[in-house]
Amino acid sequence: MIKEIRMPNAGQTTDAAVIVEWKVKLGDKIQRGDVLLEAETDKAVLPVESFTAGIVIDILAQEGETVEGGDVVCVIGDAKDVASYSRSAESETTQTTQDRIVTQEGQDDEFIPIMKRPLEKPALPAEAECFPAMPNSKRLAKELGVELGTIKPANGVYITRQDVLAAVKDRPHDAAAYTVMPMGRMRKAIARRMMESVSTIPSFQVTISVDARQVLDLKKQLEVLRQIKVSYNDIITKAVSVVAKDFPMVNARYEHDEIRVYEHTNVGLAVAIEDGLIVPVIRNVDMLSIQEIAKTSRELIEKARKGILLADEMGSGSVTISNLGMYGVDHFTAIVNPPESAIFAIGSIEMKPVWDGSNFKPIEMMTITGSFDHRMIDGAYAARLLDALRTLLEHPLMMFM
Amino acid sequence: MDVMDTYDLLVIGGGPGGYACAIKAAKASMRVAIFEKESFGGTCLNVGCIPTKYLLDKASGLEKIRMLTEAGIYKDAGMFNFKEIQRQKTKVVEKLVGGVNGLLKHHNVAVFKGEAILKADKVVECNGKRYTANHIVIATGSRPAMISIPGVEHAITSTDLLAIPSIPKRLTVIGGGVIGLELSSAFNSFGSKVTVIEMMDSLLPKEQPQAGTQLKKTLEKNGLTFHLSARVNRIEKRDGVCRTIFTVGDKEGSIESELVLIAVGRKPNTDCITPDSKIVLTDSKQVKVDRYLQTSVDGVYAIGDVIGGYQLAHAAYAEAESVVDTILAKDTKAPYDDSVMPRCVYTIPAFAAVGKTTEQAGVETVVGTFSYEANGMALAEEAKGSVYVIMDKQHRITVGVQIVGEHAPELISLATAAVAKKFTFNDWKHLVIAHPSLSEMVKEAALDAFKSALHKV
Repeated sequence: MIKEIRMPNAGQTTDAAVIVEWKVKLGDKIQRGDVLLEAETDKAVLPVESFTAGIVIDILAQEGETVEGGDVVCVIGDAKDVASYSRSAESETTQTTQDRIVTQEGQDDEFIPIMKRPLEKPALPAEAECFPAMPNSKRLAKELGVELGTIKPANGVYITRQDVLAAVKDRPHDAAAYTVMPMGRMRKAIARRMMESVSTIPSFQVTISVDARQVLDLKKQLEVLRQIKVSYNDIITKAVSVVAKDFPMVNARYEHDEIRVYEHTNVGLAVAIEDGLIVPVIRNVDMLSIQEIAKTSRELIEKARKGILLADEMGSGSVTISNLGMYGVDHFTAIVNPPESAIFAIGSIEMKPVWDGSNFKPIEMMTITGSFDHRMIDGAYAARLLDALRTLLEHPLMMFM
Repeated sequence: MDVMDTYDLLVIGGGPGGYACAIKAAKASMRVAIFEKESFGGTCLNVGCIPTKYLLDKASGLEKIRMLTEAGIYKDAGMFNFKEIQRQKTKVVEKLVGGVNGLLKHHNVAVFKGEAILKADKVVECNGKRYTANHIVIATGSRPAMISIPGVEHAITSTDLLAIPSIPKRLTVIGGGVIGLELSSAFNSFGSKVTVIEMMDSLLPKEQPQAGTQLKKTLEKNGLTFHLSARVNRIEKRDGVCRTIFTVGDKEGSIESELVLIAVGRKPNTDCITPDSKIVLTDSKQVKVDRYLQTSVDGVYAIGDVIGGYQLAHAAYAEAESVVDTILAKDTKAPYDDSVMPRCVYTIPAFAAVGKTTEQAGVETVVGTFSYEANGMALAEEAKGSVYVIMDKQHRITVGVQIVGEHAPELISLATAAVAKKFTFNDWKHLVIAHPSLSEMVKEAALDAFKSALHKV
């Protein structure tokens, strides 16, 4: 019996996903629970498993294609079904079906093209551009800047994505040539949220320099004496949560035209992954020890890189830490992740000459640039907040009191 | 002895021969009973002529669309639905079978559904009951014959192919006779890659050689592949693909396909005839009949495929007519005559013939020809083909007609009347035929035998 595998609905806000990779191909024998494909939503990359055993008879969405939750992406059946199964052509008449993979029940999937082979030449030269195109081919052609009229379909009947891609390959290169990178859900989400930030959040930046020697020392002591591996970010995260006790706006989010000050400190970590950026959130940092923070952040980063973060491991922070220090960046500004109140951009730790009143001394220094939502946080508040953060990082013992 | 139902005529088998016989006898006020174990209409209606013609009609529709698309008259060819063709074919068959049932009922023929056995002393047993009559007609028909080669179990029969739900990508057809050719032609048009393996060195060897050659050439042009003088050795099946191995002369060849059809003729259904009945069979297991179609038992006749000869529904109809006439005849009986039997092959394009070929004529003949290319109607329809008329040279009498081309089976009826009524050159000359029509070509070909065709140089 033929069984359809549908794209699951990934989460409350996600209803579309991009097929990242097929783990099976036509004709593969699969067991129940085998991973069929990986799909990328705006939150994470999800594995889609088969609920049934059988043979992969058809794959209805290719890698890179966008599918909606509930769309049939794959057809599984037994050996008998292989012979009897046939797929429908995509409906071309309505715009509403443009992005959808259609598996119509009943008769439409039984139609076979009448022409056995492509016509030798287009039937009417004047109307050569008249070959119909599948909606997804039309879209791709538009994206890639290919004239549909110049494409002769391989099947002689209608233009497929493959025809469009082949036409791009054949196109002569010129100076103005470019390719359009398909935007995944994540890229679209980043674009949308960054645009939202700069267009809705009146932000300002404040930079401080921090003597990092005590942070380095603490990191070393934890490693040597307690065999706990912590990152600079873990220590900064801890410091932020301590600062939040005196500066509660660190725990604030601008939501529904309200400033909501949360009881606990939820800190986001900007994690670079292959195709973009994702921000897992360590919750209730104020309740956690440095050791717990280190463990939690390590797990979240690992999950983020694998694309297996759960929905509730993201999106609940009020402040984010973004660190480009490992790339040798000594100072940068970050864009507030809405609806949070602040983001801290951490630079690298570098030896700097520091005047101690009588001499220049070489000291390991680090810059922290806070970007603040001015709707919630004013300049002086931000300055005092950062000063308190500096004090904590320069005297880390204070964090544990 | 138990009580038996007694009739004037018992007919075993409800195919074209059987039901025609029953109805004709009933019309002549005989008390008639008919026995049918499956479905009325026999092979022809259920698993033969009618379903094949339904498929061929749809297939030739596709060819017409392709032609018009390639000519730039249609923009796109569009799509077709084979499953729907099969569904609607079933409906047509059901309608015709229902029609036969209705006719039998209307004529008060007693209908018994079940397998009938012919026993001694003209007794027919069916469903545990016994029936008898002065006259019995055996019209049990035939079924697809198989060949005994290794791997034959991988092959299918025409009955299976007619019911197939989807179109095989490749089809190998063993046997280039009428059934093989018609199904090859249909599935070729549906999109299968079809190869025909035939033992003889030509198609339709009993017909006029020019016609057979022309038919082969046209079918090849349409996409069929032929291996003639070929003997099939075995069929192997691996991973769902059949490989048919055959020899031509001393060379071995093989063809891969998803399906292999065996269409090597049909064998008579004689299971119902018990030895007690004293009915004599021929060496090829057909029921032996005399020229009045009577078997070795007085009052027991046999008609249709079970006696061999032309295994055609219209031959069975003619035989039924003859048998009923014989039964009703008081004094003089007329022997059955099949010398003017029309023979049709409903390929795309079709073939049809009637009467004798040059070789069979037994007199000196001349052959007149006329091409579809020179006929107004054929040009308008873009039909292609040729008409051959074989005339007795001395007496200028029509001996036979052979046609390759669209509507040949319809055209052959005019030719059949001409052959049966021994149309002369003068008869043809004075016969007025509507213009434009394809029938004009039959007259023109007949006149051409004596260089008198109007539209020919």
